[in-house]
Amino acid sequence: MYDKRRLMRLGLPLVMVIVGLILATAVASSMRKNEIEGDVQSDQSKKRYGVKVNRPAGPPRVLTDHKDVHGNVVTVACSSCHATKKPNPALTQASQLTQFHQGMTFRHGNLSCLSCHNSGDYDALRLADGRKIAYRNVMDLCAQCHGPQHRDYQRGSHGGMRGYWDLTKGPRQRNNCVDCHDPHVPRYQKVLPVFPPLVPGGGASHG
Amino acid sequence: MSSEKSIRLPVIGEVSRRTVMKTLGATLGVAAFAKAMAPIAEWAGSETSMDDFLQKHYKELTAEDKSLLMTRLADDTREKYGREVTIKDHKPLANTKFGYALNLSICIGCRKCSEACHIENNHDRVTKNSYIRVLEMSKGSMDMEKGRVDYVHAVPKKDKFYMPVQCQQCEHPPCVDVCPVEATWKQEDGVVVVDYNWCIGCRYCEAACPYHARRFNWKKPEVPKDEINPNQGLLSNRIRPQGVVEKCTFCLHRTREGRMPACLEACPTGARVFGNLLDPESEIRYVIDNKRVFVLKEELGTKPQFFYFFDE
Amino acid sequence: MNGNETMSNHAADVAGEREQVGHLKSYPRFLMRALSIATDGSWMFYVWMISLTGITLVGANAWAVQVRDGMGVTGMSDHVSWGLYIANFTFLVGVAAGAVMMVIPAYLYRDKAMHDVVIVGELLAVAAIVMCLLFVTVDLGRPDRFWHLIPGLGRFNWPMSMLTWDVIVLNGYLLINLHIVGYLLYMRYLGRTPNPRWYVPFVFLSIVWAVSIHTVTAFLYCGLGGRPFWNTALLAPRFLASAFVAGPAFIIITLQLIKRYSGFHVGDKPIQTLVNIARVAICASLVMLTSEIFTEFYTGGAHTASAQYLYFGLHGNTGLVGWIWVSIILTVVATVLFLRPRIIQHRVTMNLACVLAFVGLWIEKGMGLIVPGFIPSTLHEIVEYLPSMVEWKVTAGIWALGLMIYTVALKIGIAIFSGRSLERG
Repeated sequence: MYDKRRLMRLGLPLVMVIVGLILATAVASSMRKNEIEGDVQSDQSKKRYGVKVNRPAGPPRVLTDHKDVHGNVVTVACSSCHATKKPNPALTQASQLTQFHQGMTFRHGNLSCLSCHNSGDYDALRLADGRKIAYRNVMDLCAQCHGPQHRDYQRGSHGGMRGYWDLTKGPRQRNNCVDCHDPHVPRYQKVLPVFPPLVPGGGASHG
Repeated sequence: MSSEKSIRLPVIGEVSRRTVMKTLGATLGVAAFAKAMAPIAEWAGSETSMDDFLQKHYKELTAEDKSLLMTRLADDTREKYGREVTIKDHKPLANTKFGYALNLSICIGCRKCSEACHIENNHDRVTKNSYIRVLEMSKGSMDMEKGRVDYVHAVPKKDKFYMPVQCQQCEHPPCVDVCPVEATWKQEDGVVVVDYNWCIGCRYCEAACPYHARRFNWKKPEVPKDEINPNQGLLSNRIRPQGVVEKCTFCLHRTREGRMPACLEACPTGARVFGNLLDPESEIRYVIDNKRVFVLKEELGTKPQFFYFFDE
Repeated sequence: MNGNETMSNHAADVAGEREQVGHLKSYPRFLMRALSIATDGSWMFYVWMISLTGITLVGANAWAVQVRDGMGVTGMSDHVSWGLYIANFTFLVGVAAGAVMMVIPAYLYRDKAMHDVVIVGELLAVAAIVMCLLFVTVDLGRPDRFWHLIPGLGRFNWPMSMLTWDVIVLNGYLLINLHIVGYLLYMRYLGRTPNPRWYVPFVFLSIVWAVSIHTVTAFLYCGLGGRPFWNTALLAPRFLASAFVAGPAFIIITLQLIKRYSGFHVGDKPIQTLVNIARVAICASLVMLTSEIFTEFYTGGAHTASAQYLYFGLHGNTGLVGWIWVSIILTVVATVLFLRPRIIQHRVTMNLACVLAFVGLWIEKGMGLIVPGFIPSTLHEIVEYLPSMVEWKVTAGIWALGLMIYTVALKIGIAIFSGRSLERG
């Protein structure tokens, strides 16, 4: 009788512990399943929608003081003035000018105006090797120096976009470099943030 | 307590005065209780219904059940919010595992994503709810301890970088493990969803989530009629009832139709990359294969499907 | 087993079989008798019960408002998503589990004196579990969907969710204890010797089960990797140690009240045993607390943020500092008092120690454990928490209801046990 009771006293906690351990192990291990994943081949037979990249409409036009018969401001091509001006390859800042463009800021490395603007045709741009390039294709100009960004852009990990991630279901529209970066001051400008979160109870976070 | 002293009280018929008093007390008690509980009857009468009470779990619904449910929910929205909406049940996509990556070198902390989420997902206007919180972090540290979310100065600030955090759609989601009623689960394409008609509101998932990704409807959400996004998903952005938990679904009502999530489209800097992790040609795979990506709190073993990377 | 007892048990068993039909009549009579005892009493009893009813009604109304208007009426937020309700739940699981500290000496160590009063502990377990279940219910955003938690009817995420384990162990513990006390009281009422076959196995089961309820409740928290403050293997042992202080402390006070107001004989021996248990448990509890604090602060780093916030405040936020130091001071003073060698002869000291320990541990479970687990949040935001008036009302209501249940249960139990309410005829 006494032994039985002793057995009970010792056995009970022991059984508890063992059962507990088995259960805990079983539960804990059932929580960690291994998943198998495999790549899928994209279905090439399906029709794919296009990716439209924004482009500048053409070379910029300069506003004049004149208005046409409809009351619209008359604009002229850059070449209208620059055809008569002698190019100055040493110019790096607008402040060095005595007329026109003086208010312009330029913070884009150590470039000169004619690094990108084409002294042969002011209605187009110029690549580093001197070739002419249209304003519409400005991205290729940027890409000359900003290779990594251009590469990432081509692979979809730089530059904003809208539309479909799945091109078999719909098209996509993508930004151009100059949509976000002012070519003369390319650093992304500071903005005021929108939509600050409400912190419940008026309590503040820290920092 | 005092022993029973059998003092005979005046007896009316067979009933003692004490019994009368007890009955009276009990009646008063019951009446007072009914009065105390009256607000519940009020709520049950206007905010819920027998159909709602008996609603089965999403996984147990037939196609017909689902269409009945979606009709009922659309009717509710018309009645309570005055807006005609379309609710669809978006099935998980085959051969797809959604992944999201965020470029911390590019993010400027403007919180446009957070705002877009608020609008897209019909969040409560009073609490300015959103599934995305953007942390302003100190350069030189990945310690969120040094971050803050309530900055209002112009961004990006010198010496700071910005880290938006939303649901990481974990491979091993602790929130799913802890739910006592299977009201939340991970679907085949990786999205962790909540059945808003099944959740009991215990908020265990909120305690379990290491990323502060879940939100509770502390009150009935308020959204002005004209601001309601009428394109709704049964398991995503349809207006949630009071007292249930909700979370980011990678905008499944958009992404399962092939579209980008709202937060990605809203991003002015292109910091966000979304796509199918199983497609080797996808943008998201390019990031994972070519950038040094990291996930938040990797040591917890949750295996997030949301990745962060730096360009330079 | 005592020979005579076995014999009479056997006889009772045989008689019982013959009297199957008899139970159909005597059991309702037993219930009626219980109801009658429960509602009869002195004016003090009525004042006590009516006051508790009033508080309960205030609580019920506050809860009804919370259901109607949403849980926004509480002080909780997406940052601190559990508060006073879950804190009280956790503490009361401890009280329920602590009651087992009467059962173990009574049944495992055959302590005769404890055996005579063990029902006080078992009834406390019942009342505490009812309160636990109520605290969980009022914390639900959708109490109308409680049926989703019923295995078979709803979808029970077992064994994955620790909360489903808790539902099982808490309800199981309630049923086991209801069965034990119900059976014993009914047998006493009939004037028969209880048949050990019908309750002893359940008593042993209840011992194991008592440990499980608090362990599983600790697992609710310590299994969460995202909450470093809770994610410690020491949590369950700490829960148990504090439970074995809070439970006995409450019972020590109750036993004296019973002796004073009911004339039911309560010797010093059970109280001495309970004091001994509380003494050891409170020391163990403090040792583990020290160990926890050392590990937190000596290691440092991000994991310490919650402890830093709790004990010293973080970035100027000090909401819990006062609470935790009050708790620590109460617990340490209680420990010193409990360690006084012949404390049992110094009733004031003993009762003071019990009250201080009970209050200290109540604070420690709530403001010291549940709340700091959420501060700072998982994204390291600091949002502080203060219970709202609605939460205090609901909490007071549940405590009042629990005390009502306990009072009535004790009244019935003691009346029947002291043989004043046997089946007549």
